[in-house]
Amino acid sequence: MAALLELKDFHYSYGAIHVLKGISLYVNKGETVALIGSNGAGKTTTLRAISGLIPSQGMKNHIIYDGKPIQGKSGDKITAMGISHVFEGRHVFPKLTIEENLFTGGYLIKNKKEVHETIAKVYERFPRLKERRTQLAGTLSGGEQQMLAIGRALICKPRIILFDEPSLGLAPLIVKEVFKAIKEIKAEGTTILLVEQNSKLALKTADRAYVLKNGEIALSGNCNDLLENEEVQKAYLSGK
Amino acid sequence: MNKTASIVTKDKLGLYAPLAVLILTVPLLLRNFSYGMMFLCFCEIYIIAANGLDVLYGYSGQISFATSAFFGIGSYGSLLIHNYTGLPILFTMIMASIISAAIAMIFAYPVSKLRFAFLSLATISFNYIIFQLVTRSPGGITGDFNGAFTDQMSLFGLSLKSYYSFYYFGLVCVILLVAVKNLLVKSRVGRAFLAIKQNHHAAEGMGIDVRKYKVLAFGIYGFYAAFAGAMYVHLVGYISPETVAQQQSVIFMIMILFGGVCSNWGPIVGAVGILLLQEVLGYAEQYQLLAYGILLLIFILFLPGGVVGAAKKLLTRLKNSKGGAVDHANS
Repeated sequence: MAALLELKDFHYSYGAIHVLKGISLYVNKGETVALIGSNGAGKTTTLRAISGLIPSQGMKNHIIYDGKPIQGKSGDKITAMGISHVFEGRHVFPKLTIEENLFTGGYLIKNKKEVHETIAKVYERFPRLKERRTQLAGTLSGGEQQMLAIGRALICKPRIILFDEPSLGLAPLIVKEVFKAIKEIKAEGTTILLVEQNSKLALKTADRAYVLKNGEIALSGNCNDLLENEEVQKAYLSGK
Repeated sequence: MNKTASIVTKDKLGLYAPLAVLILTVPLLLRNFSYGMMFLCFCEIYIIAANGLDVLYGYSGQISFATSAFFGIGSYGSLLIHNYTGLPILFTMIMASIISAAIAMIFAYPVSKLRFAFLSLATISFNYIIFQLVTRSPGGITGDFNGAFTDQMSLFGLSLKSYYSFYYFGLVCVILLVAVKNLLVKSRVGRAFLAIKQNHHAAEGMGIDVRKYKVLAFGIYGFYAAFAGAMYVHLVGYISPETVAQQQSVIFMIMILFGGVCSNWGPIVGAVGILLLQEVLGYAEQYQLLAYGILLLIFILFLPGGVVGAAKKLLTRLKNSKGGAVDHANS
């Protein structure tokens, strides 16, 4: 089976700093893949390159989505192709209400009725958002903002969702809730690429995982195998 | 949602109905005071330009110190087309506005990459370019420093020379253009503007073509400013290059900061308020800029929402204290 999303020998530099040194990975349809690693390993850069938020530096055929190269396309075009990105640090629109944020998420869907239906589904998943639908997103707590960011990403019915550090800065109880939602989304068959600092949680959520170290893939495999891998345990799971 | 909307309009009907009557009958009250009528005509013109700037700055978050340049493109554009071709004035006004919108969009295409400080520098330079073009025009077609004359407003052969008749023409223009703006900013286009203003990365992540909408906002702004400029030139029948000067652009910016951005009433209150202030300060001309500077500082520091924003805040606070139960329980 051809992968839905594939990176082939992908390099990225910020000026003179070579951040990604030829990483290769793939995500099959319906699969949840985690990308773990320490600070500065290049996880976020990988996601931002996929969703077109950072310029592609002249290379063409290293990011393949659904059989087509997408490198060099602008972010809005990539979103329109069905790749949704839940940003690190959430990035909701602070001066719009929850409902307006969700409507903005449905920007690509021209059929108003369809948008209303999907928003209703998001409210079902996160009842707390419904309670506060007229509240400005900037006044929500971190956990609620994360739920809004996830809900907003779901509105345009993406084929693959990129999650960037969904647990960042959240209380443990809220993290649990957020990951419960991610597991539900996974169970519904949406393909997921998950970047996460909390390696244990990521490995328990995903099917397969890649370990990123200094811009290179150090290890990859099934999550269950990685959880028992001595090297992984020592480097990423100790104390957690 | 529709329910709440209809309740609000019923609530406000008591306020709007007398206001509408006042606006319609004001020329009768000012029958022997043509200076006052002229002032009201100027208010209409500046309200239109300020609304254009509100779309650009308030909604799409792009600052511009080139409003008087687009205002001038409208004035000189309509003047030149009318003087050289003799086409009907309303037609040349619209033509000049469309040309201005096109120029604004061409200007915005490269400039849309720039943010706040650099965008203001780019717009300031653009304003200087237009000023230079107007004062040193090829063949002196704009009358250079002397300014230029044209016909006063007429519609379908009907002369609207007097301030009284121009007032009603202006009123129709204001209502039309403010209504169009209102529809626009409440549509998905308006949401796209607001999303870009608040976080352009996230907006792109929603599938919004950021550059397209930034350019579109400039186009709308260019149209509104130029239409106001064209109204101006056919009200006065004359334009001087001073109207296009950089200083005037700053005044437009002060208008919407004073009135408040992102609202229907903000640009209206701002335009009328600043014009009134100009009347009051007319006798102390050398201190005008000082007064604007102080005013601008006060508004940026203490009243970022402008007069209208502050009034809205006060109203909700009053309502909350009346209603008692405020939803602070979980925040």
